[in-house]
Amino acid sequence: MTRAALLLGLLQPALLGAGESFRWGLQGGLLMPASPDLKLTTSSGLNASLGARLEWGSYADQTLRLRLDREQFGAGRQIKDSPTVHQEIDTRVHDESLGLEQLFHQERWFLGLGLYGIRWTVDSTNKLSTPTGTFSPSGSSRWTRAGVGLLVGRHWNANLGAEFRFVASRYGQENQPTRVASLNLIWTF
Amino acid sequence: MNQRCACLALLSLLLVQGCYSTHNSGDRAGTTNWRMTVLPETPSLVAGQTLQFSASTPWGSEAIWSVLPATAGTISATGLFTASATPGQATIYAVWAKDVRYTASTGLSILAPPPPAVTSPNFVQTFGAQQAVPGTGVSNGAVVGEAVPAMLAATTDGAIKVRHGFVPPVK
Repeated sequence: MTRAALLLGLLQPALLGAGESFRWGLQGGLLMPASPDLKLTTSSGLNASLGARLEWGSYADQTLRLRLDREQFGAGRQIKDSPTVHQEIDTRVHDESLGLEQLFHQERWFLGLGLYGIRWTVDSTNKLSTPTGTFSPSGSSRWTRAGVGLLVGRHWNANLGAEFRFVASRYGQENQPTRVASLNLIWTF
Repeated sequence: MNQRCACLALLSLLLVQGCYSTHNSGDRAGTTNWRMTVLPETPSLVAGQTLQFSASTPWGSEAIWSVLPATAGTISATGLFTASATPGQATIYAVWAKDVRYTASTGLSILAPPPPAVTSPNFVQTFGAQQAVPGTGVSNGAVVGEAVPAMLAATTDGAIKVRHGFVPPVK
């Protein structure tokens, strides 16, 4: 709650000046899980994101963005053997996030920060195998957590650009830290 | 410019805080019986009988149950285990229903049932040894060829209860 209040306070000047020039766009790119637990739960394979955003400029050098993203991570597999049981946990992680970002422009470059609400989903299968049989329950778990982000990007022209974004959040029943780096192409219409 | 610096400083603090963790989570493979446990811990029961198991996590007790091998018995959705008629060893597994990665298990011994009591309604003393029925205070006087006196005192229907392992002498 304190984080949200602080960030909204910093965003206040942009919010008050909004309404001058609305634009919208799409963004998509590749993800890289960067925290130990998320690395364990996903894979180093294809992790991708796709999203849309609405943005408006408040000052000549500032932009406020409302942003919706869907991130899909590759399937992860953990395997552990003990003398009595062989355990395999297969997981597939995805999330949807809704966030507000403040961008600061310097010519073609921009630097930004964001505050997000992230809905995490982990689909799991826990396979326990013994010499006498197998138990393999499956299920989906969901958590909604806050996240904060830092991004830097560059516009090539009025419609096309690229951004690197780093978002920190938490997920799981024990609030394990998550860090996701992403490289996105951004189209603005 | 000052606003930018303030924003970045604040964000850096938040990112550092968001990255910090002091423990490994219990939803990883190989963390059986850590954040989730099953009770009783070292159960045993007689073949054919039932035993209630319970699972717990810090966040709730909803569990999905299984027993391996499946021939050892059946376990209901509420954790009530019914042993089969065959003695042996089995393992009860439980996973937390809201996140099936949390796992717990416990070993289970299924014991053979004790042999049933032998009833000998017409038991007759054939040798001179003295016999007693433990725990009843009943003993006989070893009169060969006559009914054991204890039968009169043992039960009202005239039966004598003989403990398992007692081998009556044969004429």
